[in-house]
Amino acid sequence: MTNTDKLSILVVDDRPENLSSMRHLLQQPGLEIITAGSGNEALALMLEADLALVLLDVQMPEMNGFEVAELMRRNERTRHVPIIFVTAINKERRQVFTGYEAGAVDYLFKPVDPFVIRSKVAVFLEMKRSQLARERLVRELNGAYNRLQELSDRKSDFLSAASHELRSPLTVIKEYCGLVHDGVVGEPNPDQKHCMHVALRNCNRLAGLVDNLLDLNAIETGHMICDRDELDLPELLETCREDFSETCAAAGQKLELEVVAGLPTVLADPAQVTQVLVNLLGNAHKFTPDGGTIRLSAHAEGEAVRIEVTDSGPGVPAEDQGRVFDKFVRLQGGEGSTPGSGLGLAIAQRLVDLQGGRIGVEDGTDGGARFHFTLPRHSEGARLRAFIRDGIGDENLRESRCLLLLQTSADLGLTLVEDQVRTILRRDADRLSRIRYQGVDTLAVVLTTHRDGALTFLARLESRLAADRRDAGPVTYALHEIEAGSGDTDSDLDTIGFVRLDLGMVARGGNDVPQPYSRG
Amino acid sequence: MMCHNRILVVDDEPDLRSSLALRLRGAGYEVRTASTENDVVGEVLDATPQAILLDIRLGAEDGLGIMERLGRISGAREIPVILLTASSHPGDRERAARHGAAAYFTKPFDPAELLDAIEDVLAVPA
Repeated sequence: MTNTDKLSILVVDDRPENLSSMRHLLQQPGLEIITAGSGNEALALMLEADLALVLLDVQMPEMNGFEVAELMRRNERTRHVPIIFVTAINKERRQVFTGYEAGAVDYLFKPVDPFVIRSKVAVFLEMKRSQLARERLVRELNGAYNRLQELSDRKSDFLSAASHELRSPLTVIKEYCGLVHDGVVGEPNPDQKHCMHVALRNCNRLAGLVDNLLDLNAIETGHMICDRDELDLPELLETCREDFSETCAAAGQKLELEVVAGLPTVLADPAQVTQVLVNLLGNAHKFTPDGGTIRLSAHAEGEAVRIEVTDSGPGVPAEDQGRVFDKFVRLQGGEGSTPGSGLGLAIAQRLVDLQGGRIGVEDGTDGGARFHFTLPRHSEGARLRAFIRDGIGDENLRESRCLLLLQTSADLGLTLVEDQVRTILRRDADRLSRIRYQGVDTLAVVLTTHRDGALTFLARLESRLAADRRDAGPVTYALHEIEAGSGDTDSDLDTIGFVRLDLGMVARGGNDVPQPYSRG
Repeated sequence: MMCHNRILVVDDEPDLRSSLALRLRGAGYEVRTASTENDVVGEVLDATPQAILLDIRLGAEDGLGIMERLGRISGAREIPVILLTASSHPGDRERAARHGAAAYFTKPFDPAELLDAIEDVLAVPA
C-alpha cells in the first residue's frame, strides 16, 4: 500500500563530492534524493517538497546546519520535518536542538558509516510512510463521515418533504369525509355515517403515523428541542389521568393513580413527559381487556423519580422485553385491536433519553406488563447541566463554546443585565435562561463563539451596563469554555474552574477568585 | 343569532379551499377564497373579512410574508389571522406567534376545534 508513495529526502552539503557520494549511498527505488549546496537553497527547496527527512551538514559557510534548522523550526511548513545533522563530534552543540519535536532529530558523525546511515534513513522513511498512511486513513474516514452525514441530511429532508406531501391530500380526504359525516352536505343515513366514521378514524391513524415518523426523525437528527425545567410531577400525572379516563371508561377499564406524598420535583420537559405518558397509557389501554385495570404510579428512587404504568393485559413475553423499544416492533395486540405503528414505544424511549432518564419493561405482579421510566430529580447542578446540553442541542459540540454565568445582588439588576444580553445576542437569545445556581438567581448564556468571542461579548456587555445610567449593582460573572464532546456528564463540569470578576459598576480586575463548581 | 361574518380562506390547494368553504358556509359564515398574496390583498381591500384562515406555505409564497404585508395596510392589520400548516417544523409555531397569529393549526386539523377558534377570534371586540 504505502510502497506506492514516492518519498523525498533532502541532502544539504556545501561540497558537491559529498552530495554525490550520499546520493550513491542512499539511492533506492521509490526514493527521490534532492540535493542543495547551501542553507538558503535548502530552505527554498523545503517549501516546495513534502520531505521525509533532511540530512544537514553542520559545517557550511554563510549559514551553518544549526542555523538552517533554527529557521526550519520557525516555519509552519518545515518545523515538523525530521533532521539528521551530519557533523564532527561536537557534544556542546548537541543540546541546541533538544526543543525540536522528540524523535525528529538525530546525529551522524563523520566519517559516515554506510550501514549506519542506511538504517537511520530507513527508520525515518518508515515513519514518513506510516504518517502518510495515517493521514490517508483520516481523509478516508472524514470522507465517509461526510457522506453519511449527507445521506442522513437527505433522509431528513425527504421525510419532512414527504410528510408535507402526505398531509395535504390527507387533510382534503379527512375534510370531505367530515363534511358527509357531520351532515354539512345533507344528513347521512346511519350506515353512511358509520362508513365515514371508520374512514375518519383511519385518517387520524395515518396522521398520527406521519407525526410519529417526523418526531422520531427530529429526535434522531438532534432537532427535537428539549426544554427542561423544574417540574411538579403529581400535577402532570393528574392531568394525564383526567385526559385518559374517558378513553378507559369507554372500554370499562379502571385507571388508578397513586403518587407517594412528598414526591420531589424533577427536571424535565413537560410536553415530552406528557407524550411519553400518553404513549405508555395508550399502549396499556390497547392491551388491557375490557373491564381491566391500568395503574399509574410514581415514587422517589435514589436520585430519580420512577414512574410506572402497569396494565392487566397479557404481559410482554421475556424474549420480547429487550426489543419492544425498537422501531417498528409491533407486539401481539388483544383480539380485534387496531395494530399500532410500532413507533410509540420507540419515541417514548428516545424522549426519556433526552430527559436523562431510563425506560424499561418488566412483568407486573398480576401477569400484565409494567412499563417504567425514571426522571432525574431537580437540583441546581442538574439544571445547569441540562441547560448546557439543551442549549447546545445534540450536535455533540462540534466546536467548543463558552458558558457565561451572570449574577447580581438584586433581581432588578439581573433583569437589566438580561435586557442588555438579549440586545447583544438578538438571534441567539434562545440560548439564554434563568437558573438557580449556588442558591442565587443566575443568568446562563451559551455563546457560540470561542473564548475570544466570549471576551468581546463581555467587553460589550460591560460598556453597555456602564452606559446604562440605572445602577445594575455589582455584577459577577463566571465564564468557562465547554470543550468539544462534553457537556452532559457530571465530571465535565467538575473540571471547570470558575473565575469571578466584578463587572459593570465595580471596576474589573485584580480579584480573580477561583470558585470550584459545587454540585447542586 | 349568527351575523354575516365574512371569512377569507387562503390556501393553494383548491380542494381544501372548497371543503373549508363548504364547512364554513354550513356553519353560517360568508366565505371568500384566495390563493395568492395579491388575491389576499385585493380581497382584504374589497371585502374586508372579519377573519382570515391562512396557509403558511402557499406554493412559492410565504403566508407569514403575507401577514407582514397585511400588517402594513391600515385596517387590515386588525383582522385576526388563523394559520394552517402541513409541516410540523418545530420553529413554525413560534414564528406564527411572533407574527401575531390568533391561532395555529397543523393539518390535518380537527374541524370542530377550527370552528371554535374562529368563533373565539370573532368574539373578541374589535
